[in-house]
Amino acid sequence: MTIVISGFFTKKYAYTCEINFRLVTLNMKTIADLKIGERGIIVNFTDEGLSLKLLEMGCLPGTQVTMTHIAPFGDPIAVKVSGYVLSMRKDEAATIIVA
Amino acid sequence: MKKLPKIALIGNPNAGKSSLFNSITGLRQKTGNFPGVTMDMLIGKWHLDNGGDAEILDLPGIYSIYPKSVDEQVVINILANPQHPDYPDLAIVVVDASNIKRNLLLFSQVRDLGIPTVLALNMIDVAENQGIVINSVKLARELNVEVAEVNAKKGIGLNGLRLAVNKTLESGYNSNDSLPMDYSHELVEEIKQTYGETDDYHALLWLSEHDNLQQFNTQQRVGFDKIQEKYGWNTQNAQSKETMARYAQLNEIVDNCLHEMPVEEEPINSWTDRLDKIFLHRFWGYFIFLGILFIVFQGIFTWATYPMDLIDSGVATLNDFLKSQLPPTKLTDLLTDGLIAGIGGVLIFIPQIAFLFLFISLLEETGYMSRVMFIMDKLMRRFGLNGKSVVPLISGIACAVPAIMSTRSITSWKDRLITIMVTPLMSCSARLPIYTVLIALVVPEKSTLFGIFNLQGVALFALYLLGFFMALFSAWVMKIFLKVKERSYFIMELPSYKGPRFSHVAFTIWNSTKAFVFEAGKIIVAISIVLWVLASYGPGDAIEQAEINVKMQYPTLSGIELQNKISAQKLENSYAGHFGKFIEPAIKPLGYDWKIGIALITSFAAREVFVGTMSTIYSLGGEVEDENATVMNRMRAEINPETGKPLYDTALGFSLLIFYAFAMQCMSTLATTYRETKSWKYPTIQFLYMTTLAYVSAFIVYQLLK
Ligand SMILES: Nc1nc2c(ncn2[C@@H]2O[C@H](COP(=O)(O)OP(=O)(O)OP(=O)(O)O)[C@@H](O)[C@H]2O)c(=O)[nH]1
Ligand SMILES: [Mg+2]
Repeated sequence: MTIVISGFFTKKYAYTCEINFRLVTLNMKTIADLKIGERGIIVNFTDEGLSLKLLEMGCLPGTQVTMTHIAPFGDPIAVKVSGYVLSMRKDEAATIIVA
Repeated sequence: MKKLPKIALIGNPNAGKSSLFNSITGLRQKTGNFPGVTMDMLIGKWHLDNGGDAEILDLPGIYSIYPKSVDEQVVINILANPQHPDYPDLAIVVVDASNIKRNLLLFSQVRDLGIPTVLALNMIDVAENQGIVINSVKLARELNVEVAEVNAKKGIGLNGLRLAVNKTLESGYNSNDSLPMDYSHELVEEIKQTYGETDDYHALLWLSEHDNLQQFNTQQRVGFDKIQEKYGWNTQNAQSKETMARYAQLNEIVDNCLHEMPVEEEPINSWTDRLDKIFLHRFWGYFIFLGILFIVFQGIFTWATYPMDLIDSGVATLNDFLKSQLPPTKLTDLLTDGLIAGIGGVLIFIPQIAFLFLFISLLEETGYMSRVMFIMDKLMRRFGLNGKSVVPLISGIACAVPAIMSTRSITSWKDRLITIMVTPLMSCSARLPIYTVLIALVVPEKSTLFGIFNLQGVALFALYLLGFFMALFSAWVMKIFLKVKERSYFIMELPSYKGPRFSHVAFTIWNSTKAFVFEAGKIIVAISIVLWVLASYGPGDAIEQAEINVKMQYPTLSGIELQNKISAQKLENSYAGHFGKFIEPAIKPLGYDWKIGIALITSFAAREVFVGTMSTIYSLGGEVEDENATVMNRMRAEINPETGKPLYDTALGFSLLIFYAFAMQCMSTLATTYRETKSWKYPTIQFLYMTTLAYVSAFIVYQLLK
């Protein structure tokens, strides 16, 4: 089964985009699934609106990420990526597919 | 006169732009160890060796030329418009060496805008600690740009930077040749034909960001939309592709210039990791944060009392001395009862204010502020706020004006608006004197909680928490009314911890305290004088009549008692007395008399004047000839004429405390809200809801405790 999860960012970006993102199956592992200390390699993004911000922050496909902190109540989380610590919310982390 | 060349400092948030600006200009732009300290542009001057002077601009940090928040937008409005009066002749891109790849992304964009660019490689010490060594000579060659190694914090490497700037300014050299991504040249030509000659990159930037750029009017924006449609342009997609293409280029360059040395075991700044294990802990994280706050308020009440007592008795002594030395004229009264009483009311709070600013500047300097944002985000979101709202809320403890400005880094408009609306509920430093005086009146000094905590300190802490929870509650209510479906995000860098620079902390304290004393002082002096006049003169001959009346009414009285009665009568019949009496019916249900009414009225300009007004009123109306004739003692001695008991009992004290905690009594804050929201609607709502809240809460408190 292939499902596209995309475009809940803002109206400006949503749905209008030509989806060049590879189709993503639901059971893919994302950063949100990592445990503390666990590593992953970024493979792709499921949300085009967020992906630009993430790219600009140094989350590139092929980069290694390490889960370092999970805030009280499980959200937000912080990962180590390209040499620094980046925090993001869980639903944001769930748009980054890792392997 | 020749126009001075303009040099802009551009770089990622927290890269050290403001630190560099300070080192270069000798000015003191605010710095701090979290992304998003600088919110607006600041211009300084720089002496270049042979080229004369240059104007240097400190700007908010940006991650790319595609802005995501209001503070970033400021920078893009300048960079996107070569006709802008602040469009730089040269850009110094400040690069954090410990995170060079991400920082170079912005560099490459700025360079491609065609602005002559110099690269300032900063935070080399941090990079080295992480085992990263950068060959800056090689970097300069690969990027084809002048590179200067600097330490912005310590001001090292400025000569090298100046040399690089001079060279680049002279040659006007920019190394961009072709853009790294594919794009339709036909499209770019059409933009140039319609909107004027420019370079390709500016044309593309206009096309994708036109909706947010100040330089275009509605008609022009519609034109861009049409072009987008015609060419099937997808901004999101184009920007992502461009970013990827840039990184692909940069990867190679960075690989050539960067050597990573293996550091033992832990790969990155192990101190930061270790501290974060504690500060970001699921349970201890909150506990430590609350603990820190609690200690601060204990400190404000216990440690600060010693210097406060000194200042207090100093002012009282001076006043008594002047009264005994100067001829007993109206002018002497104005000086002693009006001016010195008013100013003394401010001076006494210097130690507490200084302590508060010490705390806030430590929070900002060490990097702990970002951690608080991190652990609070989930909680804040429930109330329609955002982890980033923590910065305005905490700086609101100092003053709501800069606090409201710092909301600019919040990406979602709804979150930002709610934060602006509720920030003034945080107890600012101007409320501290009021709290101190009133708490001292209603909470016994010697009592403690569990035998360790000073109860007055606990009460103060409770008031600050009350302000905070009321801010959360109001935010929650506004969240219900503001139905905007807009996604906010919280993708944010957590900077490594850095030791505070004590000289910097000391300067911040000095500066903020000075500002408090002078800013508050100015208003207080003005209001004290006006008030003194209003309280010393009255309509018709009522004032002169007062003395005769009292003598007739109380023929047996003499000496001080008679004088007291006369002054009280005079005050009551003065203009100020009439004002107070006029609003007395409205504030009676809160337990206030007309004298407090006068203080309330003056407080609506700025709440700082409460204590000053009180001193003026009480030193004019009735006199306890006492060594310790301080405001507090005078207020304590005030008798409620109806009950014969002290006026400032628990009910009145708490009612006043609550009123001042919630009421919107600050013109500057309203003006700032207007500026940041660009509409009178929001300051009006802010004023009305806060003042209603204050009135209703004070009413409930008074009626319950009475
Ligand atoms: N170790 C080290 N710290 C530095 C250096 N330069 C700046 N800092 C620190 O880095 C932090 C950020 O500095 P700022 O000058 O406020 O950064 P900024 O780029 O103006 O940040 P924004 O205004 O938020 O965009 C401060 O705590 C500085 O003391 C440096 O060369 N080495
Ligand atoms: Mg700055």
